[in-house]
Amino acid sequence: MTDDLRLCLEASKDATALKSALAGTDVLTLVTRDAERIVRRLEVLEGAPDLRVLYLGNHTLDMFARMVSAASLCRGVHVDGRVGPFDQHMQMLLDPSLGLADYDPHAIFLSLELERVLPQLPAGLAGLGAAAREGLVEQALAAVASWIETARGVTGATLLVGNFWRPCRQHLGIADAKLGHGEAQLYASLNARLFDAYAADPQVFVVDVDHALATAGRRAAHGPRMKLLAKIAWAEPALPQLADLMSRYFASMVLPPKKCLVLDLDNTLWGGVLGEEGPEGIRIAEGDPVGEAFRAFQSAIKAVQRRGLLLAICSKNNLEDVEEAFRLHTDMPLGWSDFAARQVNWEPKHANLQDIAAQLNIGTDSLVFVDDNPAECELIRQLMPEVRTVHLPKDPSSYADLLLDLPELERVALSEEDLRKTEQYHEQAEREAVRVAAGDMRAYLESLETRLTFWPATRAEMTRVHQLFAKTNQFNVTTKRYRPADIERFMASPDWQLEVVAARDRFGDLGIIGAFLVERRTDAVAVDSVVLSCRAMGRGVETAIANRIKAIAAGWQPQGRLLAEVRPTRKNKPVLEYFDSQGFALLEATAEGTKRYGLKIAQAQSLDCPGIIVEAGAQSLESEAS
Amino acid sequence: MNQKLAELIADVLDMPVAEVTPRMVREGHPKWDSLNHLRLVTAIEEEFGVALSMDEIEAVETVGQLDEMIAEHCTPA
Repeated sequence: MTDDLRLCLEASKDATALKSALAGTDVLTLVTRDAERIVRRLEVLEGAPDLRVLYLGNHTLDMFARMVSAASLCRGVHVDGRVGPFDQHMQMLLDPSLGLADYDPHAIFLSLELERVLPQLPAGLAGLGAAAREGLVEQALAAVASWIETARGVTGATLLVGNFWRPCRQHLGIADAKLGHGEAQLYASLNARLFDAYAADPQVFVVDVDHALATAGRRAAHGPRMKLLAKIAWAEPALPQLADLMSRYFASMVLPPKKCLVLDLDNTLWGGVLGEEGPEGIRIAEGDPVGEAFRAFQSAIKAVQRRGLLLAICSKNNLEDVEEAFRLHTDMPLGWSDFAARQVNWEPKHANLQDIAAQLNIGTDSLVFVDDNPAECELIRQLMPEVRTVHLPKDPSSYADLLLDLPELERVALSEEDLRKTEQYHEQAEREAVRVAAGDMRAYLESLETRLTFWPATRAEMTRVHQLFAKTNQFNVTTKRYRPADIERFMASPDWQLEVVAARDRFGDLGIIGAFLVERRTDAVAVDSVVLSCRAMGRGVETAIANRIKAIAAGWQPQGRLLAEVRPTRKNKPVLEYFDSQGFALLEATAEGTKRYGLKIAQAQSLDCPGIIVEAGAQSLESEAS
Repeated sequence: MNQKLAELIADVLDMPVAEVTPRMVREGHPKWDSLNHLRLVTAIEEEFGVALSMDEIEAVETVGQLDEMIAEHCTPA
């Protein structure tokens, strides 16, 4: 690979070109020297980084940081890494001369080696009782917690904290297991408590470094010589596995998420060809190794669905055969209703992918297409390069692993809405059916009986709010991608109002479908952001949100003006006329296409939204206005 | 000196191979810092199939010494 790499590095004229040249490189095969070449080239090319990342810890992180930058670039993210001075993770936060504020990182990674936090550890835990062992756990947790709390006070950066990794050797050998409170249990309990402590914290992510090192192989990952000479705790052979893990976080933070997994059926979801073998003949049974491989793949797909992705079928088959197969094999991990869209016909697959995207109201660039047929995969690669195409190899034994390894399917955290997504799309399909039956739009909207609730966002809604800001492309007036720390700041400030809106109707609960952010200024109220999930578009919620904003503005500045702006992107066409339709006057349009609007609050009118009932939220309008 | 070694040093220290001479000194060299020194050692060990001791790694002052050290390790005793 090295000669190819050299050529591709030289040919790339800027960071974006380098990204596309490296796209698809398997990061687990990167060696340190290649990573070094990639990062050196990146450093001299034009192009602003997507993320600035600061690395801190009590062991040497330089080579690791460069490997992470190389791996991230292969996944389409330009990370500028900087390594703080050795063992000065606290000083870095507290001493302004060390340059934290100047660098202004988007993320800070902290990794602490336990033996340096607890110097008594290498002597072994034999003489200690359970209480003393518990004391050590507390001491280590406190070291992490005090760093995190200090960091929170000085930076809005996302905090990625590595967990504690078990060394290769135990000081008491196999007797450790009989101690009852030995070293193995110390690490397990420490890491479990670390995950627990920050599970609900939107700013902090505990990174499972221990798992990555174990996957890489602990024996290769820790060499005594480099540790003694330069405090390098993670040897070169382990760096690709660690960088793979880190780049998953960075890719999820930066890249637009994939929303739907589109699957072929024959030799993808089950073994054999339905049209030839018949519904009884396909291989999906327990007890048959091939059947079990497909079952494992289906279970992995089910897990991906629980991450909040939708599933769809795209298969050349007779629909009756497929329905029969699902009816016959009810013990398969996946059922017919797990699929939010099903294109079973003899049309070309690219046309079916377009249809699936249209049905689900998402872009084709948010599709992941999985098929075992190389010709179908090639067709989609050529005609729809924006789709992530995954070609399955002949042998199904690795299908489940292959799916779970895909970085494009990662989510940094899951919300309530993610867990219910498929159900919500089926409800959506029922709504569409009623719409067709009703014919008249107003009658349709009224038949839905949409009930909305607005309330100021709290920490409980943090994951969902962050997701709405991060993922909403279509109904998003300014497309400002706020970080959890920004969102917390808005929630805490009296000058900002961040509200969420939840909806339910006669078909079901849609959950939190939108949010808006307004700022109280001395003589005006400014609409900073309005985001609405595509599932809830086109049924009057847009107008209900504007009405709510007008009401808040009237409470804050009855004599002032309500200001708003729309920043056009490639995808937010649905909002370009939003404020015009809500009675705002266009004040100016800049050369970049940004449109600024104003409306005298005293003259602002609440507009009619047929079929929508706004219910009292956690905080009523009157109490806010006063 | 060993041509393979010169190329390795040029690659790891990111410099033209022509500038790598046996008299090149580690102390004060702008690119031959302590981390690059260890990266160089790892690359040498991989390329030549040798294992240097901690003392040897620390004792290296010039490219020439490194060249001799590798020759010693590669010659069967």
